[in-house]
Amino acid sequence: MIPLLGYAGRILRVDLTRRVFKTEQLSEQLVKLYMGGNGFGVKILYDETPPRIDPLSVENKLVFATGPLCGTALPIAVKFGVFSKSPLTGILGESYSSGFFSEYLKRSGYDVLIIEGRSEKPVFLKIIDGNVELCDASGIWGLTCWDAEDAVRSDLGEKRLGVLTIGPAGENLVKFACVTSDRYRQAGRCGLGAVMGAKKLKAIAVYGSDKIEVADPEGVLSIAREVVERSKSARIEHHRVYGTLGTLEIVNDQGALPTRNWLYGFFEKAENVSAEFMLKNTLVRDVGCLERCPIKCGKYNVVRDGQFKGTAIVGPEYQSTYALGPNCFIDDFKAIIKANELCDKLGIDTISGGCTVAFAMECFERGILSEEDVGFELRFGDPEALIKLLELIAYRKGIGNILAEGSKKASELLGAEALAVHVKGLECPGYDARVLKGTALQYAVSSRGACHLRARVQVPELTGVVDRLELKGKGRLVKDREDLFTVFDSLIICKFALPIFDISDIARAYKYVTGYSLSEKEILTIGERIVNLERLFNVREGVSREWDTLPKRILFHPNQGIVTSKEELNTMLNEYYKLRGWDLETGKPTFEKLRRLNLL
Amino acid sequence: MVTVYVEFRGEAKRRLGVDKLTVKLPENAGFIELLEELERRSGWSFKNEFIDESTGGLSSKVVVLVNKTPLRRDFKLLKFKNGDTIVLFPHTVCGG
Repeated sequence: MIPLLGYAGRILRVDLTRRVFKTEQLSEQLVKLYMGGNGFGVKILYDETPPRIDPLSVENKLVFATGPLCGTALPIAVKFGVFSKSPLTGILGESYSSGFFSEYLKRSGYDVLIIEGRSEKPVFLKIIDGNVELCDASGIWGLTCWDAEDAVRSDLGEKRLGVLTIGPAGENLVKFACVTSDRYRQAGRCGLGAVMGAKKLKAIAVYGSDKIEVADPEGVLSIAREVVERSKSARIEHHRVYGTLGTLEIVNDQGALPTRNWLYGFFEKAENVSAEFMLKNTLVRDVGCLERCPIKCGKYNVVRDGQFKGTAIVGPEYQSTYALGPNCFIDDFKAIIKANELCDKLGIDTISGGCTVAFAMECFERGILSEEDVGFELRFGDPEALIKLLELIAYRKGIGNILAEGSKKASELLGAEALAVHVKGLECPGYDARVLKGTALQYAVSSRGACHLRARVQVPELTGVVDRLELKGKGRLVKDREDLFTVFDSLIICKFALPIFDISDIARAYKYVTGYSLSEKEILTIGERIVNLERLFNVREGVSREWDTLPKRILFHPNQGIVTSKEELNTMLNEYYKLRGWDLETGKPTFEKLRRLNLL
Repeated sequence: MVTVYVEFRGEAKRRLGVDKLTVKLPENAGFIELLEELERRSGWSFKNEFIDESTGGLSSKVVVLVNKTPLRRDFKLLKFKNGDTIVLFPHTVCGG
């Protein structure tokens, strides 16, 4: 076996039921076909989990994966991925976050951590320089993510740790519970915190000091320096100044900011929740995922006065602001910071959490939910109601027990399916898919449900690179960008780096790190292979063309007179399926496509 | 003459100290003429900010909306009409 440069070379398997640990060698085949991160996660789940299992059952597995560029000098590779069958959607669940976890896991000797089985009692997992130990977590079960992390750090007496935690929401199996990383970062989507909760795994703490061997250290350093230099460009400077919130007014001014549970696409008081407001009133400093990140899009905000004085978080990001703000018709930025802090402490995904509250607010205003059902008035625009409801959800108290199932299931239980804005059970991000046609297609086909990150088609649509209302060509745009960003998620590098790190840089960096020379086409084929394997996973769970659809609010309720109709979606789907090599009727990858991608 | 309404966001708003301006332009004026007029009024280098020197097209670092629709990178056929609303962002979509 040749050494796998750039990789730690090992997988750690932890069986919580039997409390045993096993180390396996990373196979060269896995590396060559699936690269890392996203590729490893989906391949392991596809091979090792039986079809149609309950995501919260003992049979489900939870995979944490890093990529070959993580832990190297490349400052944009500080992420890890979490993969499992999602309790929110019942299909493939994946989510990414950043912090010290990925670097320390690799430096502890592991590229991948697989969690199996279920512990009888709460535990936390400690991995220090390759030594693995399961520790009693009864003393921290019930704590918020932040308090649990503080307790773990204090217990281990080691400041240099990557710490993942779940909060009360994960423990209570809230279907959109997140995994928190180093306090301020979250693997938010798909409810993977609930999978940790079902396994009674409260936290994972990792530290490693091994050196990651790379094939060409000078080459890696040179490309790292280039990235730092390029990050001084105006394109990235804007990102550093405004953070992701800089997007909000661009979206709103195009009528593409979902407002009041997607009843409208324009928020009149957007200025109150904009990056400009943040810069003037609450911003303290810019922060990177790790100190060495040159982009530093994170914003540390502190509320200095009023009812929420003292609240401090890294955020809110654009998506959190949309979901907890305009979508709930709330224009109080300090209240949004407070709600975001609450989500972070309780371990709730801000997008799904905010959208589920917005759904419940509309149910209340339409008389589907009463004050008796909720315990208080739940009106759009009321920050107190938002904050109270998030707490009820995290602890599954009262109406919170129904809403903790996510908006799809809750809407079925309440007979309000038309009001729930989700695709395949995953609540929609804050780009209005009625006036952004490619974005509509990406929501419909993304493997985890409504996802804005797998193809990031909203970027060319919102900036005039392509016509946002045109249908033709959107299948190509989504397909090509999915393949590319799947590579980003496999290496794993930050997608915000695309303006300064393109496919040619990826080819160079991969060669410098691993010694393998891959053409740009070969790299994109790996991305395509992973997308197809994700589709196979979902097909096994019952997904077909009928599932690749949009919520009724997008199909039938106009924004500025515009919907994305079934006919429009079908036109784009046909183009996309043809380019993907998927059967037009069933949506399944064809035999020929699978053969060509080595997936048979 | 045509009258257009220009709104400023981000750094442009800070530099100019105003949210919006009403601008009169000659018939058949396009985006470049608008930028030149704004430069005359403000002293801020709008052309440097919004135009890619190498291509002469719209810079990839900015977003411009004309009646809520993003101006395409190659905008040269654009002629403003009376009542058009133009929003200038000297930054672009930052992600999220």
